Amino acid sequence: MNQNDHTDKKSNWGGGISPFKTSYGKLMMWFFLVSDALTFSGFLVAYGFYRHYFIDVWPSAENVFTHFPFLHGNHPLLYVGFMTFVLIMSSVTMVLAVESGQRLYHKGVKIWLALTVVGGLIFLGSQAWEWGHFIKGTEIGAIQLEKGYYHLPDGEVKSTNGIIARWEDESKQRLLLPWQNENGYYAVSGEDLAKLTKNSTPVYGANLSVNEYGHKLFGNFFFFITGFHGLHVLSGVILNLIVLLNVYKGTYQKRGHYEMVEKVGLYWHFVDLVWVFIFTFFYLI
Amino acid sequence: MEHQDESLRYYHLKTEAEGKQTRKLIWRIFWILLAVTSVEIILGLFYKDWELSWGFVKTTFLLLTVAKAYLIVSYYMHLKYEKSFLIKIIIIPYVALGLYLVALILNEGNYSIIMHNWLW
Repeated sequence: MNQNDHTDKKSNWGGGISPFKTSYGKLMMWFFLVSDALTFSGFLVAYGFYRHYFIDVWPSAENVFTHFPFLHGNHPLLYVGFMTFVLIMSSVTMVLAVESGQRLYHKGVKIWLALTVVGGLIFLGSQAWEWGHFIKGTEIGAIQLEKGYYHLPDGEVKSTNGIIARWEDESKQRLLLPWQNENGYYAVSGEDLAKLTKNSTPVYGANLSVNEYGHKLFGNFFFFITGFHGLHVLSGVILNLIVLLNVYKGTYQKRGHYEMVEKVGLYWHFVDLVWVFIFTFFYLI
Repeated sequence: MEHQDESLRYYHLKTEAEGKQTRKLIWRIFWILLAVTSVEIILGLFYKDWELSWGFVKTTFLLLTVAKAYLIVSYYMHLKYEKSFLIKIIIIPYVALGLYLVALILNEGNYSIIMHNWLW
């Protein structure tokens, strides 16, 4: 007598079949993605918290990421828009590879999966380029102020300890403080400037302890969150390469299904999904 | 009972005609995603020139982000076509814990502001 005859056919939970109508591997990939999504949510919520905590000295991303290769001048959002486009495009090629696999169309899987790997590598290269620019910073740099106080015209007193102040232009005559009214940022020049910056040090670029664009936590969160996402992209590219190798060897054609492509596809789409949120919270808002 | 590849049991092979339908859907979703991203970038670049309020722009960004996430998860990750119980055990824990995290930071975050003001 067959073991399956004992199971309750009306119930999905009687044993013998998957109640979710998916294989073990795919289900576990979904569970992993949920927990990973919660990890990223934790990071982004922490970012939001510190951003509001230091709201008046937090840099605006449109003043930080303004470069585009081979173009001079100020181009906010353009480069990150390009990176987003690359990742969406690689998501499309991935889902097309999955679709080819469902028809057992061997050649289609090869082409689309290879294009996905190329997209991932372009994204990683772009991220390295952006990190490089962020670390190097600008030519004129900024000033990190020492312990002291600054009296705003409306009577409020601000501590200047560790505050980053930026130059208005290359002449370095007027220093902009990070507090503003409706006419713009408060600026100091002349004697006040000399007094304020007596023991201060110039800062160029960003690293884990200083950041010429504003509060250092902005740099820390940027390196940590985009770095963690970049690590996911890197492992996605490696997984895709391994699966691509197996596709070339004909492993899945012999097996009769391309479920492995579907599983790495789920992971790859998740990486794209996380970037959608990083794009909004880091670059847009 | 002969051993059977479990994955093969739940893997749905598709015909050419079904494949054509799926590809059409994939490209339609791609164009929507591209259009939404372009709208976000254009809004981010020009909202000051158009004198839109920051609150409105911020809300729009959040809504568009959630819309993009919905499209990616339901069509590219194929979650919309899975069994409804699978959808629930993926979405409910994530949304519940995510909202809990946000509620926690919105509510309890006040204490650190109070502490900050007190220290200064």
